[in-house]
Amino acid sequence: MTVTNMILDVRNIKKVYTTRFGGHQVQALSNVTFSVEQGEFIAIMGESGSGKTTLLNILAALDKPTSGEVFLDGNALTGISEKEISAFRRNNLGFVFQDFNLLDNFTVKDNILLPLVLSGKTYDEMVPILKPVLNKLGIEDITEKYPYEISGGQKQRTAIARAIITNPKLLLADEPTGALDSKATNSLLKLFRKINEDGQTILMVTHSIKAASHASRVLFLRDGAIFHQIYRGESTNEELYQKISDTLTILATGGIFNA
Amino acid sequence: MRNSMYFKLAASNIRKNGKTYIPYLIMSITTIMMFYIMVFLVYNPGLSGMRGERHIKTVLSLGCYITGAFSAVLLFYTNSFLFKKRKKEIGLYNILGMEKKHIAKMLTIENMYSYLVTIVLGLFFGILFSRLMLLILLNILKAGTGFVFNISIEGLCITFVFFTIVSALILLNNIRQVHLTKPVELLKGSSLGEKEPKTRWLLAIIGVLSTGAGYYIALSVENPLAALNIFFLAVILVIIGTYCLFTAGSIALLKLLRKNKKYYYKTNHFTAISGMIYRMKRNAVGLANICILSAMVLVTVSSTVCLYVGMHDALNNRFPTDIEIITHNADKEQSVSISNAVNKIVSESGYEISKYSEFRYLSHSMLYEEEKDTFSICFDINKNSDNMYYVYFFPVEDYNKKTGTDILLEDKEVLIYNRNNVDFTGNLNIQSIEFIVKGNVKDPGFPMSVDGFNKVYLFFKDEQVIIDINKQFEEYFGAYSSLTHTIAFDVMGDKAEQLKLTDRIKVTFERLEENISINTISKAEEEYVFYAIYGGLFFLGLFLGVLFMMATVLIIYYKQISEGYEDKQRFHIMQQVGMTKAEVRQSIRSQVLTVFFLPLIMAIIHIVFAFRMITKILGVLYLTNVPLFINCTVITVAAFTLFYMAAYSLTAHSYYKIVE
Ligand SMILES: Nc1ncnc2c1ncn2[C@@H]1O[C@H](COP(=O)(O)OP(=O)(O)O)[C@@H](O)[C@H]1O
Ligand SMILES: [Mg+2]
Repeated sequence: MTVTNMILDVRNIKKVYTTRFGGHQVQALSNVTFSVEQGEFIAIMGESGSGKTTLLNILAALDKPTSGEVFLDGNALTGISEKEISAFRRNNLGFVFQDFNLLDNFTVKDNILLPLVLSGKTYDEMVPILKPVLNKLGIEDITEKYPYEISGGQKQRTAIARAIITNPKLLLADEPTGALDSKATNSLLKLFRKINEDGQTILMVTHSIKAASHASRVLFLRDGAIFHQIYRGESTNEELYQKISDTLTILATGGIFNA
Repeated sequence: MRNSMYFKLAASNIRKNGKTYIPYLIMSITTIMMFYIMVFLVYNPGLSGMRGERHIKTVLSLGCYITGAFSAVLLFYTNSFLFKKRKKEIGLYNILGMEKKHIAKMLTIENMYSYLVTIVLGLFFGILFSRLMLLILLNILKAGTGFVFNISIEGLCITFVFFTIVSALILLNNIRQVHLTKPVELLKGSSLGEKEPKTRWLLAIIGVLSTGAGYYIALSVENPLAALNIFFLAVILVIIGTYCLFTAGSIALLKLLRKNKKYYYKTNHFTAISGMIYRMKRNAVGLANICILSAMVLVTVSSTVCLYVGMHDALNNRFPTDIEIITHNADKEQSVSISNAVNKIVSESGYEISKYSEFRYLSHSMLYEEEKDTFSICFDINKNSDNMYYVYFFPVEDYNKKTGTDILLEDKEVLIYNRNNVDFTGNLNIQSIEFIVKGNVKDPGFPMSVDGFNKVYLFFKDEQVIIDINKQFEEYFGAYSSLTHTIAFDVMGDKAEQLKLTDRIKVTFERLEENISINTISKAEEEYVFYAIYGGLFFLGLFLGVLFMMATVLIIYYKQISEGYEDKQRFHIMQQVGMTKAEVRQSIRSQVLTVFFLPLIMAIIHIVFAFRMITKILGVLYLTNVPLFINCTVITVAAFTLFYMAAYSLTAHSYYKIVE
């Protein structure tokens, strides 16, 4: 591993939520350390409540860790001022969420263009950027439709288009297939692969083995820490699926890994 | 399901929906209270027997009808809002196995609970505040306070019956909605209507045309009598226009802006325009309601305040002297005997009088056609309204007497005074008789009412000429067109003495009456009527103003909280996509402010356009003091704006609490 192409470096992240009524504390993340190289497609797996969303929010600078550091392309997220954080997020990160988070009052096209408009690009600059993205995601025909007029799969494609239109260093996805049927899930995962093959670094959290089996590396999160990882290596999706599944079985029976 | 279960459910439902339910309850209580007070005042024995009783009761009954009708509409409106929010919850009950008739039962019990609470509290506060209101009213009317305070049985009964019916109708409407809709729709209920609105060009154009037409009428009407009739047409046009503009016009405009890609794809325009389209669709009707209500508050309050404040002006305009004795159809001899009788009474009574004047004249409302130099009788009051004149025919002797001049006229000569400063020259025809204009003179200062009408005095050689002219009018009016004999004078002494003298004259002429009608009018007596009407209207204006304002606040409040829940999600997404918290807040703030102050601005524009027409109508009511009306309007608008802003900051607080 060479240091030069490391895009994300997460060191000893800890997150403690203090509930509103004070006193009671929830430790969502106890000690998370991992790094991501340029061009990787990482899946982070964990059960519901294991801290996946929390981790993603911290990576997205939407939330601050209680302790620890996150470096994106060499920049410490904690060092960025509140003022710059939105612009930083806009220019470096893309997001895909389980429930799409599209704005109902914008057309598909406008939803996708939103980040560009926010960065102050003119319309003439946007058009040539938009075209290839629409093409890649196969949503050229629905650009004038509204989110409530399209299917879940199309919504998620729109969300992905919005996430990658700024050409982010890292694409973050939180259970992107969570609200989709199996057909839409399959085509969406293929799409992720394709984007990844085009050079996009992706970090996806999921509890679906199917989704994770498309990744190039799978991290397992339990009790607020990464405790195991599997590299795809030369495995096919099916083989990787089997490996993940075995791992989870051992996990469920309380086995210990010596990875 | 056991019965006690329904009661528990109903009670907990009301508690759960407190945020939206409590303002509704407060509104119900207040409308019941205000309605009771109105009925109480109409039936109050304290108002019986006072001078002008009939007029004040007419005004107050009008107030009853308006309060009642308005309360019913308002309660229906707020209930429909509440019910829409609750559809999901009701759909859930339905899916969880509650039959529709059970839901109906639950709703009935809820309704009974809230009705019992509101009627009891409403009547209680009504009784509590009715005494205060009566005091305020009597004070405004400048009537003595020798009244008996009581609880009005009629008031209690009428209020109870009226609001029971309203409440029952509201309940039936809710139950009907539960029965009509499928549970799935009920579940969707409050999240329906997310779709982008269609552009309804036709409605938008109607909005522009209708508002424009209303404004045009308001600006072009000249004749105050016509204004009174056409006022309602203009008001209806503007109301229609307002609804169309808010619902269709705003969206059409926003979509046009969106079509302009260079303009639309700019950071602040982008979110603002699409946000506003969404907001306008949600709120158009509510905003139009607020706009119309605000305009109503402004017009009612400013004009009634102005009438009341300017009442003495109006009284003096209408009655230039303390006492007027007017006789129609009296010949010269009869006039002399009336005049002698009046002078005898006055000298016997020992009152000192001043500004005594006496006239015999003819008057008609006539159309002036400049190109034909002709005054003629015209029955179409809407036609050429600014050329309609009130024409007075005097012998020139009256002019000489009043001004101390010594003008002599020939048979075919006429001397003219007019208030509009029209310069008459050459010939002048009265119907078909031709006269030569001898000249234009200044106001001789006759004690005639000052009102908003065009007026012209024509002076002729002697009464015979006028009688000849009248022959032409008799063709139209028969004996109704006759000379009027007027005696007018001021009395030294206070109102009580004026009234005493008036009564003595009246009594004398009651006995003297022979086929002619002698009408004795005293300013002191009429003052009571003025107080009754203008004071009553003033009271009503303030009363309804308060009611309308409360309605405005309530609608604003509901608008704010319903938006709050919807904006919360959008607020969140915007941040995830890369807007800073401050940017999002700024964008939402400016949208909310626009939506909020749009109705007020529109209402103020309505007032500006209506201003001229209202001054004309006030002119009919003898109020010609335009600067006073300007002051009243400006102060009312300023006060209302302050109030509106207070309502905004209060409700904005609950809005931001929901969003953040
Ligand atoms: N805002 C919060 N306040 C308090 N506790 C939270 C908050 N967000 C998440 N948690 C807690 O942190 C833990 C991890 O949550 P989350 O990251 O959402 O898990 P996942 O996405 O893997 O389901 C859970 O126990 C959850 O209850
Ligand atoms: Mg989660």
